[in-house]
Amino acid sequence: MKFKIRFAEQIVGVFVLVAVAFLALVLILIGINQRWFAKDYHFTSRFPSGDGLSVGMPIKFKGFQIGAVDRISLDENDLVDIDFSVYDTYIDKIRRNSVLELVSSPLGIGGGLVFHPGKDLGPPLAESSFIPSLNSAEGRRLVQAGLVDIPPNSDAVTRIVGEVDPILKNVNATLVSVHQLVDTLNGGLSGAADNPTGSLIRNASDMTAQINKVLVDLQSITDRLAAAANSPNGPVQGMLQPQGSMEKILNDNDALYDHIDDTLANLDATIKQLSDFVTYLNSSQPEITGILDEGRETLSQGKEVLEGIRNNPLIRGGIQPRIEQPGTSAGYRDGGF
Amino acid sequence: MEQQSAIELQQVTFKRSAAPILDDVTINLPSGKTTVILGPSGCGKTTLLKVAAGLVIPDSGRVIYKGRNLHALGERENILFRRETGFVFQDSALWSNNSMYQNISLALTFHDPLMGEQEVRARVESLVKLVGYRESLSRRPAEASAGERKIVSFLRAIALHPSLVFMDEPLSEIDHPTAERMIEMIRDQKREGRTIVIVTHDPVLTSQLADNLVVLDNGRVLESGPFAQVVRSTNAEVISLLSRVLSEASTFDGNILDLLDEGTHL
Amino acid sequence: MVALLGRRVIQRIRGLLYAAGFLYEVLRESFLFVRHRQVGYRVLTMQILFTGVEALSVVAVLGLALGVVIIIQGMSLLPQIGQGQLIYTILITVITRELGPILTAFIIIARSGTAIATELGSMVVSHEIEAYVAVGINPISYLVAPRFLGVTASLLILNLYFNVFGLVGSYFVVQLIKPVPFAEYFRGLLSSLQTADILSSLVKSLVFGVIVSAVSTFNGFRVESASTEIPQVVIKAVGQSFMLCIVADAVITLIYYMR
Repeated sequence: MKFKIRFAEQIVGVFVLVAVAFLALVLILIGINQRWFAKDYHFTSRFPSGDGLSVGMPIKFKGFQIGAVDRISLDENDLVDIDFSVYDTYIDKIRRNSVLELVSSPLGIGGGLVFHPGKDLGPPLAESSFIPSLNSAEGRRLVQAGLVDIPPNSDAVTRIVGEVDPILKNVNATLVSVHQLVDTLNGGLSGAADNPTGSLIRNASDMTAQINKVLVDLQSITDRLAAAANSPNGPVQGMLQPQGSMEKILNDNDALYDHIDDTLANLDATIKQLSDFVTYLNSSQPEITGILDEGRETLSQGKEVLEGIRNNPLIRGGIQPRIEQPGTSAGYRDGGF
Repeated sequence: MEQQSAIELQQVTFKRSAAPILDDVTINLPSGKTTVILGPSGCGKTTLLKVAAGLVIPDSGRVIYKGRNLHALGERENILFRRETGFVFQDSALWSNNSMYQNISLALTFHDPLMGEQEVRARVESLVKLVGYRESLSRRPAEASAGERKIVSFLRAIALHPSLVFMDEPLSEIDHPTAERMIEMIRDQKREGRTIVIVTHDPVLTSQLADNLVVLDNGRVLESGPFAQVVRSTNAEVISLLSRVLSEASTFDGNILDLLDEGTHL
Repeated sequence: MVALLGRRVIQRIRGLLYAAGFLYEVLRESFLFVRHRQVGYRVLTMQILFTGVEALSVVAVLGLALGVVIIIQGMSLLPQIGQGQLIYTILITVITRELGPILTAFIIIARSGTAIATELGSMVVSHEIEAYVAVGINPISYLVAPRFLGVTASLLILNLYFNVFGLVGSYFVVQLIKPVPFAEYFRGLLSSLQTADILSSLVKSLVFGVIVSAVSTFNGFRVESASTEIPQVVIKAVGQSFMLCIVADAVITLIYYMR
């Protein structure tokens, strides 16, 4: 009989046994590798979205898998809760202030959960503790406070994207601010806006209108005065006649003049006070100073007229040259915008 | 005289395609007797034999064995029935993947699983000695001649000493000396009181061993009963058939009329 | 016309019921076979020898070649997209879960399915089956049950060997081309391998074994009298086995993914 037939039973026995042994070995190795008999510690975390998360997804720390996601669920606040377990060999890495980061690969595949331990060297967290995700408020706070040990990204693409992203964000924010600012200024300039600059300009233009009116009135008064002063039969000339009332007024040993002078001096002082007051106001309302300047100008002219009357060569003296007093502030129309 | 029947067929009909192979056949196979089924080729003899042996299930009718319908037997009863029967096929039908020895011993080991290997061997060898078969039993059927195969097939059938033996053309395909040996073996079985049912063309076998005759043609039983009775039948068909069949056979000696007239019974 | 259709349908249903009855008988006898340990024990051993042991070389070569190809292709392509770790998942999915069972089934259909159908068919033609019945031996319990058990067991075991050669053997071959550290490879493999993968693979082999043996034996017995029918039933056996195996594969894979 052929060898094969003679030892059929032995051959078949070996055939079957080797296969069964292999199967048993594989099962044992899987058991060890997948930790059927090792203790896992369970924790929870929360993410804003479940995208990129899957049950069984590994949790890695420095390239080593330290655990995996057990469960993913949506809570009442529309956030995604995950339950995950950590192998007992790595439990001492789960310290206070640790965070969990969801890394997504730019290609859409791969990516995973990366664990960043807290810098705190205390005992590991108790089981079922909550570990915040990197993107949550808590997580960001921990990172900014420097309580989490976050290494730079090893993957070049991710790193670049990571760095560009905040820059872009900042630029965006800046552009938005500038845009808002320009809008405000434009609005302010056109007087349409509600902010102080706008109201300032609105008021200024109102005031200019009023001042113009006052000036016109003053001008007409001055004209009439001048006309009155120059017409030979006018009251001024009449007054200046040696027998006129003027003579009488002026020849009372300067009493009236002194009186008027005092009055004018008082008026001047008052105006000066007003001017000082306006100087104070000037920091915010330079146009009032301008108006007051014009007023002073007019009063100076008035003063000149009276002085001229006093110092009329027909009577005596002359007009003292007026000393131009500089304005206490730049006219509001002087400065450029 | 009503003989106790080992097997009784009642209105058995068997069809394959349109024409019926067995048409309303009712016969009685008395126990302890040798019944020969005669008929021209293709008349349904083999099918009748197989129906009687329970190998073919008829389309209608019943096959009664020990008062029970053969096809209503439970599994255990069926095995007991099989233990009591032996079938010799026309083409030997030995199991080609087993040796001659295994062909004979399989029935023994199946029905008596507790029988030790020694005992099985002893029984097989006694059987072999009985028929004087001297060839090697370790050969495969394909390596043996037709005659040897026929003999082993016979041994296989009688290995359990069954009370019922069915034989389908036991003398076909074998040479003269082997045929004689076969006739002797059948006679031995008959002597032991077994019920034997034989399908044959052979006039010698018929004349020497038949107690009862069943004459079949086109699936219908023309005549059945004791040999002497059937042989002297006045039915023209029976007569012509008998002469036709018996004259078809290649081995016979003596005058046909002699055979028809008296027949040498044992 | 309608009557013809009706007849056909009835025939079909009857055929299916007959086949179902056959399968039931086979399962029953196989179960009893294991319990009674009758004469067919040696037959079972021989069946596993012919179906399993003799197919081992084919399975080994196939497994090795496939494993090597997958590893080489994977290790060239995957690191380029940063997914070198996927090679283990791919190996497990392809070899353990999918190709292991179905390829070994195909090998066994081609070798043993044809052989069994041919053998049984010719036994019907030469009346050997009838001879078994005449002796009182139930051909299903004596012939079909050991083949059924032998083919199913062989398929299971060959599947395991396919995995051995495909996962482990290919590692050694790849070492010659592109060395990978031993620990890394096997750790990666063991991490990707789930018990569900193993279970799915074994269940598939089991189902395929049942299909192949049942279909082959069933078709073998359908021969009636002429030896010209034998090649016809063999072709039918092979075709039906292929189809049923693939359908079963799809169903089991679906169940695996729905768990």
